Amino acid sequence: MRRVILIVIIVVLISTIIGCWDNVEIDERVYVLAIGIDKAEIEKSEKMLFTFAFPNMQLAAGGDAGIENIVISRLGKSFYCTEERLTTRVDKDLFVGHLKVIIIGEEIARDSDKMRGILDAFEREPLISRKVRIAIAKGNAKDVLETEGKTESLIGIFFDGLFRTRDRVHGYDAGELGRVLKRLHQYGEVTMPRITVEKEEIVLEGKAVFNDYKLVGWLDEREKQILTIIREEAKTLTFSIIHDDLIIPYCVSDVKVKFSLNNENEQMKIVIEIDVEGDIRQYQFNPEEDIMEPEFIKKVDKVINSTLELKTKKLINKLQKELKTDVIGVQSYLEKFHPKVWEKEKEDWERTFPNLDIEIKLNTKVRRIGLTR
Amino acid sequence: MFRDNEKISATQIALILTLTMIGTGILTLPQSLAKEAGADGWIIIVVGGVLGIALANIYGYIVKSHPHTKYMDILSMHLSKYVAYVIVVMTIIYLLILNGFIIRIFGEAIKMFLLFKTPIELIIFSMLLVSVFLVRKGIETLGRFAEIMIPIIFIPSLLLFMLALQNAEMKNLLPVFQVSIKEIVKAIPIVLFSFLGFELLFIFGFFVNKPKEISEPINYAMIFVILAYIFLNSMTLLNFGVKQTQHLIWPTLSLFKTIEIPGLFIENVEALVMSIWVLIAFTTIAPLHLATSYLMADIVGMKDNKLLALPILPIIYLIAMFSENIAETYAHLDKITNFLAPTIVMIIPCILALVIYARRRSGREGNKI
Repeated sequence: MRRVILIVIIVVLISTIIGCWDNVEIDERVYVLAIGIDKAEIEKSEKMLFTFAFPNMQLAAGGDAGIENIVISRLGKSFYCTEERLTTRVDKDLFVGHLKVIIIGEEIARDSDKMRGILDAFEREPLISRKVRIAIAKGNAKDVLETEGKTESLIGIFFDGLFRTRDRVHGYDAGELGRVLKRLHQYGEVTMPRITVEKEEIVLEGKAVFNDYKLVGWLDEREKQILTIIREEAKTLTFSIIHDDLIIPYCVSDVKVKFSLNNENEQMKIVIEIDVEGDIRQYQFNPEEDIMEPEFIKKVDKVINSTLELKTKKLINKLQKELKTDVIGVQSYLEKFHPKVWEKEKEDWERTFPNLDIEIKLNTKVRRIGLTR
Repeated sequence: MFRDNEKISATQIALILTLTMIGTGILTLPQSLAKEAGADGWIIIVVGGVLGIALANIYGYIVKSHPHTKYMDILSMHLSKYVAYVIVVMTIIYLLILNGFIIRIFGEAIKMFLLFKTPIELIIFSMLLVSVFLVRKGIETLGRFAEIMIPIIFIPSLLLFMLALQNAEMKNLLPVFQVSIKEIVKAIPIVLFSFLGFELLFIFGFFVNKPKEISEPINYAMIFVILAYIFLNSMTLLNFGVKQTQHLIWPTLSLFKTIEIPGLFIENVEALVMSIWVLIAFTTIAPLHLATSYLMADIVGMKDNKLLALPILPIIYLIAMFSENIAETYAHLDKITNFLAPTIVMIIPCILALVIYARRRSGREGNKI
């Protein structure tokens, strides 16, 4: 009996203790929360500048000292080589499993081969979640990562919060890697959030437009808002409408979009019907006109309608003529609802889209006016 | 202790077969369907499934017409002894190869998502050891094991799929009915591969206590698997769309990487998914292993299959390690599903059923005269 117990003890000890042979303590690891990728500022060089941002955990273990941000940059030809080489400078294991954000510099984004390589590196890696956010920096990604957020000092966490809030307030598509990759696979065209540093402050606004895996142009925040309306992704958006020299903020609360195809007379025509509902948030203290008057609301409605329609047409014109990129989803609409038409147009879509006849039918409604009349 | 007569019920065999089938198809089915048929993959599952049900009923007919008879004895009774030997040897080879590749894929997935630094040899070997343990306990244990595993596997999987729904885009299921008949026929081997494991009915049919009642449970099992696959396929498409699904090696596992629970409660659910994946793979590997041991015991004339459990292990292990990488594994596996599997799963059973049917007819007519 004793022997049996002894054997059991030995077996249990061997099998449990053996698991510790290659353990890594948590403070011997650093968690890379943000990665920036820039073009190396060396002429005729294939190399890229990779910037890694991670919190220093050692100080956290010490207690009161607070967590410190570490930002390290290193030149390299590919992400994983550089990550490995970084162990020549950092005394800890780098772990990318908790990566929150990838920021790509403008110059890299304009290079389609580099972009395809980078995107594949992140898609192929099992450790990296498809929930990671990806954004394009106007200028250098390194500058963005070296700037500290005002409300949260940990770089990765700050970005994560920033993107999450944008999701909640403005609707989806704030650069989730999974969504970006999905769209790129499907259409080769996508928009990613634009990130800039303005006066020592990180600003996440506008969009970078990609076509054929490379950056072709930017949309500013106003244009981006219209884009989210057309893509039915908008949640809350406020536009300033000018009526009788007064500024009226119109807050969009609900959007419905319907695409339809009209190819009766040979010429293909896409009709986009957009129904927008919203509230008036401000008019004037002690106004001369009664805002409760249906006639008045109709008048305001008309102004809102024409303002938004103008903006939408401008955006579509820009996308068609200047960027030549179909990020509003005409292609996806044809592919899914008119597969036969799409089969014919598929080959020549790049040339068809810029000259496509797109009609906008905008229909705005004022639903609420607040507490006063 | 509790083992008595090596008997399982008709329900238990249906459960064993369900789990075996799910394990072979779950990882790659959405990807291959998206490649072959775009958003119309479900049509192919339905067509393949109907074919599967037809086959299952043919198997059921054979098993029912010869209750409590071993597969080899049925074969030698109707197709002569030598043919029976050839067929059984072929089936053994087929089961060994299939099992080898399945366990390789299992190991690769585990290494990719969970045990990054553990040698794949160790992952595969330890899994096979557990399988040996179950095989030595025999069919009865496997039957009970399947009963326990069904809820343990399917309830958490369903919950995980529900969580994945938050990124779903309904439009991804469009356009429908774009696939041509030619493409459907071309894609049938893929679906057939996803239903592999059903041929074990021949081997396990011997142990069913009431073979007459076997039809209903196996039809339910088939329908369940068809529905599960349609669900899986739709979920993947809803999340990824056709093009992205085509680019993923294991869409099902990547799907779970998109799960996020608000409030950061759980973000990377890999560990949970992988533990379910271990169970799913095991419920495929162990029945195949057990079936191989039974057939081998028959062919060498041994009464007990227990002794053969361990000697089979190195064979499966070597087959698993045969391919150099995952791409080669799939290439080899394709060859099997294109040539060996149709012979074993479709042609031989159909011939056998025809012979049995013809003999019965002539036998009855003979009795009348």
